[in-house]
Amino acid sequence: MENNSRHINKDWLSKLPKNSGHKAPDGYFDSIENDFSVNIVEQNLIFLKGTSIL
Amino acid sequence: MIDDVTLVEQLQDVQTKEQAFRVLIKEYKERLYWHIRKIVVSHDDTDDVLQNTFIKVFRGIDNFKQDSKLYSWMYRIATNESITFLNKKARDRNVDISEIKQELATSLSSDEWFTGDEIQLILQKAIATLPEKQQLVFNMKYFDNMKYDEISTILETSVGGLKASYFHAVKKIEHYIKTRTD
Repeated sequence: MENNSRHINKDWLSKLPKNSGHKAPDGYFDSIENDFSVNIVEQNLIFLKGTSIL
Repeated sequence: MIDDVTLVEQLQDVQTKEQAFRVLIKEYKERLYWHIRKIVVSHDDTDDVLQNTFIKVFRGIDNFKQDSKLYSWMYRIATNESITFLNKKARDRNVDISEIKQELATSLSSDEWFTGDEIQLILQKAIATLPEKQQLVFNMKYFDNMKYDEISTILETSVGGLKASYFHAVKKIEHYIKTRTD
C-alpha cells in the first residue's frame, strides 16, 4: 500500500518539457572565461591584501 | 581532458593556480550556470552569482580535501550562493522569499532570455511555489537527470529524504498544472 501511495505518475510527468525554457545570451559562455579569470584574480588580490593588513 | 584530482593539485599550487583556474571555469561554467539559473531565474543575477561562486571556489580551493568530488563541492557552493542571493533580495525588500520567487517566475513572460512556451512557463511558476528543498531536488532530478546519490552529497540530505521531497514536488506540480490547464 505504501508503495502505491508513493507512486509517481510517470506518464503525466513525461508530457512535461525537459527543457526549462531559459536561454543564455549568444556568446555568453565564450566570454566569461577571460572576464571571470581576470576579475576573480584581481578581487582575490584585493581580498588577500585586505586580510594581510588585518 | 584533465582529471579532477590533477586539476585540484594544480589549483592548490601557487605556480599553476591561475592557469588551472581558467581550466576549471572552462570545464564547469555551463553546468554551474544552468544550476544557478534555475534557482535565481534571471540571467543577470545568474551571472553575478556564478562569479561569486567562482570567487568562493578560488578562495576556498586550498582547503578543499579530495574526500568529496570537486563538482559536488562546487555545486554546494553554487547552491548556497544562490539561496543567499535570494534571501538578501527578500531581506532588502522586507518580503518573504516565497514572494520573491513568485515575482521572478511571473516576470519570465517578459524576460528576453526566457524562450519557453506556455507549458514551460506554467511549469516554472509551479516550481516557484515549492519549498526550497523540493525545488532544488526537482530541478536537479528532473532537468539535470542527477542521481540521488549525487544530489545527496551536494545538499547533504539522505537519499530517502530526497526521494520524499521529489515525490511531494511532483505531486504539487501536477496539481498546480492540472488546475490551470484542464
